[in-house]
Amino acid sequence: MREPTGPPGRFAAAPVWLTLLALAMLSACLAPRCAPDPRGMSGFLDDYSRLCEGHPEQPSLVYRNPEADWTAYNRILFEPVTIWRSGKGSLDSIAEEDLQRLAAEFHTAVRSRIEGIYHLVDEPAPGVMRIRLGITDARQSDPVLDVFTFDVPPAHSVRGEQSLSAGMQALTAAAAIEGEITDSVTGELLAAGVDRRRKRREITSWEDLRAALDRWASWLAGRLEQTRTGQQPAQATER
Amino acid sequence: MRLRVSVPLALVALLALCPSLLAAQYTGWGDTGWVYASKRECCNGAIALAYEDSEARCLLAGGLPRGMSGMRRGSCKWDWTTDASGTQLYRCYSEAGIPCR
Repeated sequence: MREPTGPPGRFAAAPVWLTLLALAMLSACLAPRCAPDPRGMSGFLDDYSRLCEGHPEQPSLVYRNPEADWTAYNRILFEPVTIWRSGKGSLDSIAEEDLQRLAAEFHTAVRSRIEGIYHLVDEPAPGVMRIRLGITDARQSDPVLDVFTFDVPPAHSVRGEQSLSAGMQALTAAAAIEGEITDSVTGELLAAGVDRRRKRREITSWEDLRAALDRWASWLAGRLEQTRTGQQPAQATER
Repeated sequence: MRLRVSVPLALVALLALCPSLLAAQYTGWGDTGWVYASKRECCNGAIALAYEDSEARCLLAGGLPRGMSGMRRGSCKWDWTTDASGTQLYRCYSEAGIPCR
C-alpha cells in the first residue's frame, strides 16, 4: 500500500515558511526592546539610547557596559539624591520636610546597604565608582521641571511612622528611580537603569515607603556584590 | 505706663517665639548660557546660580541668607541645540529662593 503523498511544490514548503516566519516573529517579540523614545524619559540620565528592557528581576530599562572591569573598583562616591518632577511648582504640593525625608530615607537605605560592600568616599579617584540616583516623575518633552536635591547630613534622623500626605502618595505612585554608575575619573558609563514600579503595591505610609526603598537598595547592593565577586548575593534581593 | 512697656515686650516675645514672621524670600534667577553638559548638570548649574542671586538679593535687603546646608530647590527650564558636529548643548534657566532673615 502506497503512503499518501502531500501536494508537491510550494504547498509542501508552505508549513516550513510559516514555521520560520512564526519563529522570526517570536524571536522579535522575545528580544529586549532597546533605545526607548527619549521624549518619554526624564532627562536625568545622560544617555538613554543604550537602555534596553530589563528582565523581570532587573530594572524596567537597563544598560550594563560589557567592557567594564568591575573588579577595578573598590570605593563608591554616592552623590546626593535628587527628586525631579515635571512642571513649575510641581513639588509645591509636598512639604519641604517630606521631600527632605524622602531623599534622606532613600539615601540612608542605599548607603547602609552598600557601605558593607564598598568603602564610601567624598572625592573622585581611580578605583572609585560614582553613583547618581534620582526619583523622577518627569518627561523630556515637558519644558519645565522642579528639582529638589538634598545632601543628607551623616547624623540626620527622620521622624517615626506616619501616613504619607496625598501629594507624597501621588509622587510615589508615579515616580521612577533612575540611576547611573560611572567611573568617577573618566566618566565612562558602567551601568544605568530606569526602574518603574511594576508591582503596584500601595504605598500609604512612611513605613511602606521605607520598606520599598530598602528592598530596592538591597537589590542594588546585591547586584554590585555580584559584579564584584561574580557570586550570587547571599541574601534575597527581590525588589 | 504699664501698657506702653508691655506692648513692645509682647512684640519682641512674639518675634522670638515665631522667627518665621521675620523671614522673607527673595527670588533669584540663574541662566547658564549654552553649555556642553547633560541636562542634569545644566539644571543643577542654573539652580546654583539662582541660589547665589537669591542670596545676593537677601544681603542687599539687609538680611541674612538662611538656606539649609546641602539642600537645593528650584525650577529648571531648558533649551537645547546641537553644534556643527552634532553635539548637544543645553541652556538652563532657573528660579529659586532661599529663606532670608
